[in-house]
Amino acid sequence: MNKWHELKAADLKNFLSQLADKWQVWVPYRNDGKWEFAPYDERRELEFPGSVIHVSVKQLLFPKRRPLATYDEESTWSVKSVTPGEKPRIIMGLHPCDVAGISYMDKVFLRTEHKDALYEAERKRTVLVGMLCTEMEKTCHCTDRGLAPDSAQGMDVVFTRTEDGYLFQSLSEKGAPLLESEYLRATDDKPDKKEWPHGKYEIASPEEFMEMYDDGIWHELSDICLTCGICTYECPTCVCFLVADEKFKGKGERVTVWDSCQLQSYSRMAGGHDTRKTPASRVRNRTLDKFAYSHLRYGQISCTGCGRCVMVCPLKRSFPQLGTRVTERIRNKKKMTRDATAPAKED
Amino acid sequence: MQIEKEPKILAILCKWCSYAGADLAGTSRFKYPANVRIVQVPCSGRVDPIMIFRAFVEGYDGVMVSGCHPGDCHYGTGNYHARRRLAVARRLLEFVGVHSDRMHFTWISAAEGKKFADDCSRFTEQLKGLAGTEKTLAREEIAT
Amino acid sequence: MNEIRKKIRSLFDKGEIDVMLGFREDPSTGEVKAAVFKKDDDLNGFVYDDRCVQNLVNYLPTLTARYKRIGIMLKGCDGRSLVTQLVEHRINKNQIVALSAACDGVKVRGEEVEKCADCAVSVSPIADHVFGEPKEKKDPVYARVREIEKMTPAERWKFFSDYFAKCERCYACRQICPSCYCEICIADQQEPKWIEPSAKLSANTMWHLIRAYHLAGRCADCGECERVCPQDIPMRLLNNALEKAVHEMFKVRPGTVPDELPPLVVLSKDDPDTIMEGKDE
Repeated sequence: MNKWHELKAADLKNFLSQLADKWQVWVPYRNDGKWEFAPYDERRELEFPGSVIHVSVKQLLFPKRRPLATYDEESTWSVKSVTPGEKPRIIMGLHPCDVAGISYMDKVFLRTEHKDALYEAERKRTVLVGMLCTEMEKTCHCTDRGLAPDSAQGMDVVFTRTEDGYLFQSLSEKGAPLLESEYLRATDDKPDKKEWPHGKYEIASPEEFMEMYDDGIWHELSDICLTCGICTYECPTCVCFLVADEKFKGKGERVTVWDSCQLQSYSRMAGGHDTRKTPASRVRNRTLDKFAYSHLRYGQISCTGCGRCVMVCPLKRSFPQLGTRVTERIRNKKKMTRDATAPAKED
Repeated sequence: MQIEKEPKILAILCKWCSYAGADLAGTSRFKYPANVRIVQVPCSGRVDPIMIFRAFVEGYDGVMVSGCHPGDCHYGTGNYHARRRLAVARRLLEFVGVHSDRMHFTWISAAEGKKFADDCSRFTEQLKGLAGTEKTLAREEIAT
Repeated sequence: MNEIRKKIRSLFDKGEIDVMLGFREDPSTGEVKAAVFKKDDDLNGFVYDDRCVQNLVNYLPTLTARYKRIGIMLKGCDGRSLVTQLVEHRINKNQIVALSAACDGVKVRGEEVEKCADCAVSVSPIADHVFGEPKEKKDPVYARVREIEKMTPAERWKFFSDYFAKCERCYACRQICPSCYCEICIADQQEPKWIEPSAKLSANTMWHLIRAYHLAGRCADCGECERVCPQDIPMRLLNNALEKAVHEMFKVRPGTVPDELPPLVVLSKDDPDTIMEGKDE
């Protein structure tokens, strides 16, 4: 187990400026009350949020508009790549749920048979410096999804706030060079382990969810969902995209753009056929994808319990509640079949 | 991108009056600048402001729309609808920062060849006066 | 609030409504959300206070397909929205029983919402049952719009392009708007592809312009579009600018007069040509 290193609060800016010599450092900033990740700027006031912020971190590895290739006037195609010689990048201040989201994106984009070269290049040059949460928001439920606010899984370096500064620990080869700084001192101190609440949004197993495909519950659940798609845009594991070609003055560009299975046009095909015309089918698709299909494909459910969907839903509906209501129905169904097949009482 | 020294103008003309008027300008040999590119529509009432927005996005410096005079629409009432739509489109574009001089909405009848030529010349001069200023709404160049 | 609950109970008992569209409090978050109440539900769960921000008119089209008569709880701005939906024949008035309480502004997380400062109607213009005293309302001032109108074109474009560049094209503004109901939205049209799906400045600008334009003369200013935008784009600015323009040009404020047709649908021979001409022409 690597040792923890302490950093005094007063040395934070110096430490970051030092890092900024060799790395592009991205940290969270509050801009007019809204959070955003931006390159480190020593003139801006820096504070690390104690829990998840609603800004989607996937934007940093999987931008909302990503050029793949361009062609010029002679119709010569050139495939985009990350500019060689560009500085490696640190993203600092990610929370465990963000990192879990990135781990899931890695599974999707770095599959051996169809690796996304651009994503791979970005990912390789990115060091994840994650921060342990000091509190859970009302919307947080990572503990119901196999994670914890103080889990360092997937991080290259983990840090946490202490009374007079921060504690850092390197967890990978990528992360070790960051801690070579005179501002960090090895210490025997360790962050305290906390007990975190759970049980708010417990759900059934992926197999049980799969059995609900033909159930009528989806019509009830879609009564109030307007399938606006905001939940998919802020979700750290929603990575659907469409590929678009853009041309102007003889040149062209092929880009990937964020898309959402909740939008009315998502499954519309040439000829007008649409496999998911009804809101109920789209709500079903998202729920089953998060809690069942992703498990079939990648061995883990893709919900990280970050609660962003709840934060941004305009109707205050919460996507996790879809999961719990379906779970409730699953349990009730099982109960009914159990009672029906129970042996008759003896007189 | 900036407004060009030789501005490109898109003129959307109704078939029955304005396009005929432009034709008359040609046959009467009235001179007007080659900056104007003409697109014909059956009626000014067919003009959807999305065409105007799209023209600006595709890089046109100025957009001109012309139809029959009110009361003379070949289809009866198309230009009354056009008048309201163009009014709202102008207000919206000006609100987001497109200079008022980049839009010219007018009525030109089939007999008004001279007016068409004069309007085109005046509009082109107006736009040349904006040369070098930011071409609001124009789409990004593609860097290869 | 009890007065409203009593009225709803009596509407259920008399068989005048099959379901009631209102609000319920979520005990785990303390927020209120839209809920459908049926005859046998306990109406003590029905909540109506200044936290009830959502525009419930959104749900009417789906609910009117499933139930015969629907009661709906409306603020002033929601009521304007209902008027626009009725004028466009999207819903039948026969199926609606409109309840409206005089509204003094709503709050989101304790803070007053900006739209309330410029409110045009305190009570729904269409209401079968009114609760409380409707307040005297002045004409909207459109302060934010006037601020923009003081800027030069270059300043305006700087202001708007900064916001449009942030747009993710999530279309939440479209989904939440009761007046946006095209079966195939123009943004999804492929032939011709008027608006590129790409989340870049020029395409985003096209989207916002066309959205504002299609709502011109139809937008009831319920403010939901601005509330739901995850990037905090000031959607209402564009809608209000056109609302102000439409009022100046055609003397109409959408949704304030029942049965009044939208100005861009109406034919008028008397509009002066000056409305479409630039200021110098």
